Amino acid sequence: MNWVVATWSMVITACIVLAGIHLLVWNKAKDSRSSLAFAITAVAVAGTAVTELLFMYSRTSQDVISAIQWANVSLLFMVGGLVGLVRCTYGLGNLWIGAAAVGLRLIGVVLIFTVDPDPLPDPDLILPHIDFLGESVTVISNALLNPWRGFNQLSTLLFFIFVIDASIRLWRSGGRDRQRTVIYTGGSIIGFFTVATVLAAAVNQEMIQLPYLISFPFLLVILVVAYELVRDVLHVKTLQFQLADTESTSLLGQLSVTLAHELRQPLGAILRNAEAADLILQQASPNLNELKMIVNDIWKDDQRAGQVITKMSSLLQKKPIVLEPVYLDRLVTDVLTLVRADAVRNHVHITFKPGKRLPLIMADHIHLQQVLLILINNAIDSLKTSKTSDRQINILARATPESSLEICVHDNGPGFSSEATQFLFKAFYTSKEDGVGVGLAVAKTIVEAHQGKIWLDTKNTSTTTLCFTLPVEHDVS
Amino acid sequence: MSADVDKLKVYLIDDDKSHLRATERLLRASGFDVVTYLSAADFLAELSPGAIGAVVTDYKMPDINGIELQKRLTERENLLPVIFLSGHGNIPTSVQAMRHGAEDFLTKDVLKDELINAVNRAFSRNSGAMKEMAELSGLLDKFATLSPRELEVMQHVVQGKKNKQIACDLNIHERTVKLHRTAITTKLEVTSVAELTMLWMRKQRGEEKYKLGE
Repeated sequence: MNWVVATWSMVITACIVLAGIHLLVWNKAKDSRSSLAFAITAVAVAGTAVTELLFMYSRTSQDVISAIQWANVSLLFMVGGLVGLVRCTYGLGNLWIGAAAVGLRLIGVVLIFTVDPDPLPDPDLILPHIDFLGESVTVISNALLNPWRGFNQLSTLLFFIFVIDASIRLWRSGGRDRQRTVIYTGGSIIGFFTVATVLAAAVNQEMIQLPYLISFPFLLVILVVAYELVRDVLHVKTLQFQLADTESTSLLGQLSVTLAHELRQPLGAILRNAEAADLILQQASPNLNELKMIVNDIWKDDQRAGQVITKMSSLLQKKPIVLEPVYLDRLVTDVLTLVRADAVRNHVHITFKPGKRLPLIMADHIHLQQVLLILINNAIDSLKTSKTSDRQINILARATPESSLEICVHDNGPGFSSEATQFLFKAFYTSKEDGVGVGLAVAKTIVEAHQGKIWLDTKNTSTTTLCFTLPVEHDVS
Repeated sequence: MSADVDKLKVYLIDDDKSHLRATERLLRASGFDVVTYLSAADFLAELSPGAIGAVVTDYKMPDINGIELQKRLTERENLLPVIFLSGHGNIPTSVQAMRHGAEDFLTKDVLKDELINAVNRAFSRNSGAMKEMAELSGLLDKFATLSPRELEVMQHVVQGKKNKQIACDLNIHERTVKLHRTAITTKLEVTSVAELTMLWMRKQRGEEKYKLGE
């Protein structure tokens, strides 16, 4: 029984199976890129194990060199996969540092394939062997070490910095669940990577007489990450179910009640007008003027009813909510790009001040953008009527003591009348000529579907302030 | 526009201008006198105690809604019946409204006959109530002319007690009882005990019905 082949085969199989599963996941849901990143990482670890096997059964120096070359290729993909994984799953980690870590490995790989080592290794070099698990396997000889391993070492250092940076940011964003992830995922990546690096270095320095065993700690990293990924996916699915539930009952239910009420008004008026006209026509000399007014009113009410239906159907076009980690900075900046032209045209100056250490939230990117667009557009509309030349919109975001994210949009426009304040968030209330009044109602629905709150803040009388909160994701259990 | 004391009017309240105008047209064409308001607050501000007729109002309105309006009318001891004409027609709402003493609860899509019948019913109820109130007022005034002692004696008389018994119960002379009885029959303008009893019962019932004297 060849225990070497058996053991390494198990490692390879485990990695391939995990990779396969996550490739299937990615195939089903192309937007869960973390699964793709994971699959790449797992395949890379399998590749590393294969190269270790090749190494152990090398006969010539050329075999050894080939094994080392391909091992470096595997490690390149592994580091790349892990960087991608951290970025896709958490949206964190300095992209430059991560890219540099990957880039350095890439350079190392290119060099090791293209540049012959100097001096050229002796093709007749006798390779050192040891007894390992009952087999005679080749181990590294000093003469055959990768001359470019400096790049690898630097890359590993940068990779550590990348992971530590992402871990710190994730920890700071709060939430017991996040901190747990930091400990397990971040900890295992760094921990096992360190073990692997130390092992490799020890083998390289011939301090210990062993074959390369780095695929083992990397397999452990894969296992931990796979577990965390599954937990994450389950968590997101739970949230999505919850959201779908609340969304359908509250949104649809609310809309149907509003629809019924809004349609009954014009329809009721049309009925009364028709009945009145009928009675008037039965009189001896019907008042034609009054009949004209009746016809006009009927016509206007019919239009009113039509508008209600049009606006309702656009509201009812439900797009499914997709939760993902949202980096608020970026979201607001994107929205500001969208409104820049309009703001400039109306001489409105918009500033955005995010607070320090903004928590990470799981939200629907598109819907959140819509909420911000609604609030900012409302502010711009309000400022259009403002007489002052100093038109300001300030957007502030901060973490609240109740561990949620609070975003406020302030504008120094004329604001709302006290009567308007009462039905601010009710559908079809508007003070605008051409408005239909569904903006804030839609914003409210979206915010509440995310389990947040939206309100008009009346503390400051010189500005009109609309705020909304989004809860920071907590441990579901 | 102040309300004419003697004319029955429909007081129409709706925050939707178009619906208000249309309903006013219909009611006028059907022969009613209509006064319109865009809000319950406006209506209450102009309401005079001598107003008779009925209130036809929307149920859900921004500032003061239907239920609130009913409460305010009850507080003012106003007898105007309230008919709800609502865009929302669910059962719990209508039950709640009726419990608070609404005359009727209609949805905005009812045909004109139902609305007109409801208004007529409300009018007759209001006229009836006004008459009863006037009578009750008269009764209360009459009984107010009795002195406390006379009131006491009278209460014993309507229980069917003889003079001797009353004198014993109240610890006074039988002769004093007789004097009080004469005063009572004169002041209340009754000629028999039976009549007195009936008057007393009517007063009690009237007070209970209109929740007075609480």
